[in-house]
Amino acid sequence: MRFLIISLCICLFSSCALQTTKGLFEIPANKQVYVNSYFSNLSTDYVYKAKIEAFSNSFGGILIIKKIDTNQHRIVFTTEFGNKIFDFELLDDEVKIHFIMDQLDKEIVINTLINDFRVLTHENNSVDKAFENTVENIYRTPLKKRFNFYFENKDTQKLNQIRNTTATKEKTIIQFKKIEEAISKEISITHNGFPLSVNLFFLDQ
Amino acid sequence: MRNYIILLLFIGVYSASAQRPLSALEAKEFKQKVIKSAEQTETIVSDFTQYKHLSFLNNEIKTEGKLVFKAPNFIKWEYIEPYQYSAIFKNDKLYVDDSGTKSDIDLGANKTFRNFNSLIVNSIKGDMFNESQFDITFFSTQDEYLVKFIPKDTNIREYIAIFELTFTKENPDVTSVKMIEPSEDFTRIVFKNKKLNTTVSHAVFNH
Repeated sequence: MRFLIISLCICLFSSCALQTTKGLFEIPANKQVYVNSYFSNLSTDYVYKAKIEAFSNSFGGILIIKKIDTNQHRIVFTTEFGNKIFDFELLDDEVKIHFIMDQLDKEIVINTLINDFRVLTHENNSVDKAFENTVENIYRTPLKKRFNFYFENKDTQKLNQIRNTTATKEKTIIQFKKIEEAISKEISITHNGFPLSVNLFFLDQ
Repeated sequence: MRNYIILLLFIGVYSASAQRPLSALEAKEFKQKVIKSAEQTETIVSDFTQYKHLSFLNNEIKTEGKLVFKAPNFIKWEYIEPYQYSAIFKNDKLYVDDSGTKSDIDLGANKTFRNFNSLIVNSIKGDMFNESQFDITFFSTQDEYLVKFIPKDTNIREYIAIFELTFTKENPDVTSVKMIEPSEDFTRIVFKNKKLNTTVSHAVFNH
């Protein structure tokens, strides 16, 4: 009986343990704020070709991200023909929806999109814990009842990925590739438990 | 003297951009010419440049490609720069090739896409003169005719407040299509190297 209870406890705690921190060592944080600078230049128009897989459907479009003020980003998604699909403005805790197509005007879709873009663009993030593995420093920051883990390469000091989690589950993984002149030229966004993945390719204008 | 030059420049700039409304008779004659030309158009092959204007961006987003149309309603929009993407409208279906990822959408089942398809066909031929669908006004500028189409359908107006088509003065040929959103952001497509009624193989529309 005692063996059964111990086994159940082990199962319970191991299934509750956050996957993100497995194999990482907690270390004292060497910075209080982690800065994600990929969308931080006021004079840059960040324009990406997007390829999206959602619920076994593939479609594409153009994603435009623009920092318009401190902690304020405008995010617009259009078809290749230029028709707007959605147009959001993120400012700290506020969201302004300028436009969204009727077919997407659903709470779960809007919340998922807003959460993803907030994680992607949020610039100054208060660090509450730090970890490391052999190649990366990892900074944990709380954001809206969730956590973001910023994985930064120790040698290049470039941000490789952000993992957005609840206390027990990894929700969204954003990976930054082909980083040139402070711009990530390729970005992938995947979700655990939600069939939506996005691949972004920077368009040099 | 300096004031006189500034005044002349101002008048010059103003008159170059001025829009004079066409009289009812002029508008009728122009419309008849466009409809006749559209009826005689079997094929169109043209390069195009698309500009997406968003008020908050520093620069317009520019894409370039090629358009092929074959009567009655086969269309291929092919974006070449800065990415490869093609959309073929045929037999009530939209076939997409997004850099090798192929998909199709049944337009028959989707009213928005179906309307969009017929708007595309009509706008590239110039024949959008359906007064039950649009409030239409005609203007003459220095070099071109400009026609503004305001959709009557409230569903379309949520996306596009005004379609503006420009036509050459010599013959009623569409030179640009501008789709202005309610927010005043817009998409402008400018045609160049346009060829009418050349031979176009059906194979162009293979997916």
